[in-house]
Amino acid sequence: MLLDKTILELATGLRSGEFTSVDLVNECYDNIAKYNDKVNAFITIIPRETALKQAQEIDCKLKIACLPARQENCKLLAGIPFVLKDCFCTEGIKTTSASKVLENFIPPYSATIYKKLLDAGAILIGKMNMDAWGHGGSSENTDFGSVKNPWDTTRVAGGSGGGPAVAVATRMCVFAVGEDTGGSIRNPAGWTNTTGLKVTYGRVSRYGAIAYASSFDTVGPVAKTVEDCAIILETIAGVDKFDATSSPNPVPQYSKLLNKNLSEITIGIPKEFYGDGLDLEIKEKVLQVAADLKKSGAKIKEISMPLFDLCLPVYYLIAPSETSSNLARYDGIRYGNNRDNFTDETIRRILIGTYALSAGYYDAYYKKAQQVRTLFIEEYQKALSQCDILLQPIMPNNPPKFGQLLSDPLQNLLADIYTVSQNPVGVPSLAIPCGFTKSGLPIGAQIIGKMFSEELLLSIGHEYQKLTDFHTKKPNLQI
Amino acid sequence: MVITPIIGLEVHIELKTKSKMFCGCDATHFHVKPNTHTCPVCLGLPGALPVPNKTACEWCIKLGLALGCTINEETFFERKNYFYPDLAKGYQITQLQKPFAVNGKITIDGHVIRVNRAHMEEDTGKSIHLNGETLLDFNRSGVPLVEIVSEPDITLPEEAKKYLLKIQQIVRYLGISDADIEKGSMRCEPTINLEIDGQFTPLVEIKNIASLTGVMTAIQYEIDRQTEQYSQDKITKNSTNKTTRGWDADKNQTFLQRDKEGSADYRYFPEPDIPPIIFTKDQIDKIKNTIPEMPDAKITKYKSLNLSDYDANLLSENQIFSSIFDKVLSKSSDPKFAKFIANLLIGPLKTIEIDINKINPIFFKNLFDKKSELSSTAIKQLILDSYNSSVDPLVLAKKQNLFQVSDTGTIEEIAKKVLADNPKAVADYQKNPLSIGFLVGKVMQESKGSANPILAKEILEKLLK
Amino acid sequence: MSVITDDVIVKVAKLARLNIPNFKVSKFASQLEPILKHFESLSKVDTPKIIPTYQTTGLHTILREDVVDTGRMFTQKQALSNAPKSKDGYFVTSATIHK
Repeated sequence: MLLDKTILELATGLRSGEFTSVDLVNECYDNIAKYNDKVNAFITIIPRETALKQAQEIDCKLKIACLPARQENCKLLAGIPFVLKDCFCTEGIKTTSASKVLENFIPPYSATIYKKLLDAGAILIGKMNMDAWGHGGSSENTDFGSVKNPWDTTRVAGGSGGGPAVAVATRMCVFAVGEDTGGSIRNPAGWTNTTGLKVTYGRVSRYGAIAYASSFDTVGPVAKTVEDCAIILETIAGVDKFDATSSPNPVPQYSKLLNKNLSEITIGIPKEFYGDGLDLEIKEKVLQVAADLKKSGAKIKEISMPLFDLCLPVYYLIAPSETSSNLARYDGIRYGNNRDNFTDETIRRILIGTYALSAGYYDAYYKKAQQVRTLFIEEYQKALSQCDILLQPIMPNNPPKFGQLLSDPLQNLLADIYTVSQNPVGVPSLAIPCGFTKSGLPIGAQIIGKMFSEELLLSIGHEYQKLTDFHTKKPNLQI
Repeated sequence: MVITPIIGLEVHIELKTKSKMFCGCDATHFHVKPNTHTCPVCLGLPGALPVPNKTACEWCIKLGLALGCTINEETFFERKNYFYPDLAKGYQITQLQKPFAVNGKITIDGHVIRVNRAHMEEDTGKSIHLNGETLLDFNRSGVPLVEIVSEPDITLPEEAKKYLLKIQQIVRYLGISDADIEKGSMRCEPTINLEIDGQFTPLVEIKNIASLTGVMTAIQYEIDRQTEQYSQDKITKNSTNKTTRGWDADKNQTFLQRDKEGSADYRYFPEPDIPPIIFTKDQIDKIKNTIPEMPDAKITKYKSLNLSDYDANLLSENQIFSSIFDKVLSKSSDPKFAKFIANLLIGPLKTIEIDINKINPIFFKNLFDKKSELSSTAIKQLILDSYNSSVDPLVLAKKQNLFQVSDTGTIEEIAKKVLADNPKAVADYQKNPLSIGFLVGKVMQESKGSANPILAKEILEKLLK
Repeated sequence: MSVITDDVIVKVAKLARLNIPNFKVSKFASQLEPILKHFESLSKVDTPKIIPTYQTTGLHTILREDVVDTGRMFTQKQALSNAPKSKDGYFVTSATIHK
């Protein structure tokens, strides 16, 4: 299948004439027709004719350009079909954030990253299902029906970005762009056997991305390989005059910097992340990542991060506080439906956040959480001074059956233990497939680095994907 | 009963920047078609983000400096969360813990009114209530506002008005706002309570005042109302009984606003979308150097030139006027010259809209030097003519034959003739010296208006001895 | 620290402009209680001198020049394009009380 190829392989094939962008788009829509009903990954499917027309235009342009795939003025993403988590404003195309509040909202403007992808010639084929407003870790908190895990359709796909990850896993597109606020890219990547990158806060513009928690939200790629993520990142990263929190740091050509010598690298294993509560199969597979990288020369070091599970109250006080404010604009007057249309999970988060900010509670909850956040920043700095990257599991257990997480809000919260410390701190984290359970469910691991260390993370991930082939496996949806 | 009003004023100044506070939309909104100056940011669309306006921040600092405030080198914005249809995001981006400017003062008739703070924030859209519906226009949403909060140091309605006029004058001098209360580019909300025989009445904030007279009337109304209320219920101020009342300009009374209970919980927290703002001491000094000479300094200067309080205040009233005065004054620092210019500016030149570029200080100086040879009427006319034509007034005076004869010999000749021709008037003078006016008039007539009347009178008196 | 009673839910819901039907109030109270209790673990951490972190960018003074950006401005039609109700160029909502 063409869509099994990496972006670089596709870019090469498009330019050599081996196949066309039209072929890629057709394959996507064929797979959508075959699989989407089983997994419910899409909220909006762009009309096939629209995508095909764009593909035809790109095919013409590529014939004229006719340069080797690695030349700079030949954008690698040209003619490549992609999807967006439905939290990015796309002018003229419905954008819902998977909520009834915005079920008919057609933005009159576009997110910066969407414009960048269009400029690069990439072809949008869908807006993807997710936990509404980013509120969730299973893509069940959606008004458009839960997303199903293609590896076992009785189980959740993860969230909040379940739709994008599933679309990549089932070859309904080549890549996706999602948003990670507390694991929303990494969690579904781990549970669907895809590769996802939570970037450094500020690395990619948030302008046009519907806000969940303003100081945690990051925008990043989801794809089949680390190399794909590198190519997507170098296209979407960079400072944006419309986003005052976007970083002015120059954007390296990540895809050209993937071949680092790993013999100097030290991998930190924070022991608290491997304690009770972590499924043993997952623990084994994640630690194996370090063992595998050791073969390429990396060193391993056990370290301690004692603040560990305090990340949950830090995250679950600050994120709801910021979201309670970010969601105040939805009053149904200028656009959208009124506030009676929020789901229970969203209502819970708004209530917690409003409470934490309210008079008499601000100091004990919100301010306290921001103080402990400072301590987490220091703890990550300390950990990353002792080693180059940290290796952590993504989820403590396998994707649960439907309804399990939503029925117990506290358990739902506790399940995020491994993915909610990175966002308050701002550090990047790369999620990579690292094996399967005996029952055939995917397992993912995450590697975390210092702020703006994407180059290093991508190199290590790329090296790991040369040593292993977990990331090439596809779910079997023929049933 | 000893009743002392305790009045604090909260003033909002709309800055006349080209673009809005957090987006690049055109900031004009007066008589603009509704919802034509909006964008994702000021319309509060999903995914939009604020980026602060540099000029607005600099002007807020400038205003703070002009009010004698200390400028905080590091400040940040915060979200004030509340729901109202014209508040697009459901929160207003403002400042709380770290405003740009703190601890300033305004002096009214020797009484210091302390300014607690001056901070930056954004305006809301406009609501029009009509036929059971509310119409919303977001052109004004996001326009930069500076909020100036005074301590409750004001004690009289008249003082409140003067305080407001002073702020208006300062803001206009700085060129940062039109500060027009009728147009809404300056808004005022008094908070008032009374001290009655050592007890304090509950605080009342008054909203919806649309004129300066309205401010005084509303405050006086509240003083009377609270006095009456206290005499009935003896309820004193506590931390939860502050109320908000709206001003009804038609009925000339305040009315309790239903929706307000005690103090709203705005759940302020630092704005995560905007990094903190740092202005170094050097940058603040640079802004300070752009502040023109302010009205109080000008008044002091003018009074030292022996101008009256009235003239000094009038001249410094607006910045253009005083700039013109200063420009002309540059020709000489003689107090008499100052007075001369003042009279012309306040007199004939006040009737037209003056363009400072057309003012030629030399014309004024020339007229001043020759003033003994020209009647005061002639001078007034000449300054207008020379402004309009850009021709030296002395040239015009010569053309129009306006020079008065000050040669005593010539006047004496005419005087002798007049005395000879008017024996009855001479006899009248012997009885009543005040009747000399008639004879002076005759000399003026004989000389066809060119005689210097003061000299004529002197000479006549000398001859009549 | 605090007890999440039905009254608390009602009060907080009002602040957040959420219309929670009566039959759901107790359910939310019972769900939020253990969560907020869990947050009490934060009080174990000693933080009297710790400065809160509100942003991780390390950036400061990101300002824009005072220039009108016509590229981003909407026409009236665009601004109103998603309005459930509009009239004569205005957004319309049912009557509200004075601020």
